[in-house]
Amino acid sequence: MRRYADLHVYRETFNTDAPRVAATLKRLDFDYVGITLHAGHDPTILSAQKKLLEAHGLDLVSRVDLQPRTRAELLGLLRRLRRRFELVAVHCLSNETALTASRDKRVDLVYFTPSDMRIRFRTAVAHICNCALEINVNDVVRAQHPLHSILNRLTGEVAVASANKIPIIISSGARTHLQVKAPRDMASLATLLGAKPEESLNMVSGHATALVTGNRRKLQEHVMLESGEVAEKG
Amino acid sequence: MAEFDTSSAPTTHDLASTLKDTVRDIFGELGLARLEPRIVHYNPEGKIMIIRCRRDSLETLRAALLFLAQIERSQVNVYSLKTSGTLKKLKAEVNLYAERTRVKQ
Repeated sequence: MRRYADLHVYRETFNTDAPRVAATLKRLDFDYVGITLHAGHDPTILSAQKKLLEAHGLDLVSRVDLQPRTRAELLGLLRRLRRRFELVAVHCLSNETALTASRDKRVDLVYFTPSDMRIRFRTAVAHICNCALEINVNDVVRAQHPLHSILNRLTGEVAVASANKIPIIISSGARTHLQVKAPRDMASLATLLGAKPEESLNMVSGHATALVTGNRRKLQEHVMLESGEVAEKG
Repeated sequence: MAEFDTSSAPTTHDLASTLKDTVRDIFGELGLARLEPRIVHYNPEGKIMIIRCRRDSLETLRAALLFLAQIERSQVNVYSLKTSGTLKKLKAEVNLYAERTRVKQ
């Protein structure tokens, strides 16, 4: 049986009627829910949401969204935050940060603003990419830009990622309870963008859950020493 | 079978016309003709509906549901819950779902 994950739900989604949001996520068959924090936040502030989601049989994944303007800023943030969150995502606001973030193994996900046509997931980025490309459904659905140009851009990005064997992850990017989407509905967006149906389902299940379990294993089993070496915990 | 989340319960007519408009906006007249979406069961209290479409256009319908965000100026979220080849099975699911909701209340 497939296990579904929505790895990008903003914390403010839980501000009003949190039990209802949790119940909806459970009814939609999700197993993992990634709640996003900003760089200044501490993951312990998610304890209330963690309890609530656990009561509904859901697994909370702590995630940080970095929005660096420069390469140096990105590297500084990664050094500080990598081991505090289960997922590290970078919102690429320039082609320079897109290149650096994609290459850095400490980054799990990169995502772009679909309406900003200058900064995109290009072949040059895909060649050196060590992370997954994320597509947020709500960025597509609620974009102020003409839909045809956004779909055209995303079709190109899906093709580039597939050609370079870069995993794609589809998330809701929900900010309110009305923006939470069903996993199979989200997968259908990928099918629309040219991915095969089986691969589309992996974008909301297999790739996403593998990323979470892999990161948890790394965080539990190993500790990074000051010298940069990796040692077994305990 | 799809569920919708909104503050006010829309009429079947509003739902059907918004769904058709959304499909037309994204897939054009040809897409609408191929999909032929039809609401065959609607329960405004349970906020559940059954949408009928051609089997080979299921993915298209699901994608269209993603883009359905507003009905008559009120925000809405529509998501698919179950799919089946027969109406009988889906109606049984709707009844089961309504019962479960009643028990919870």
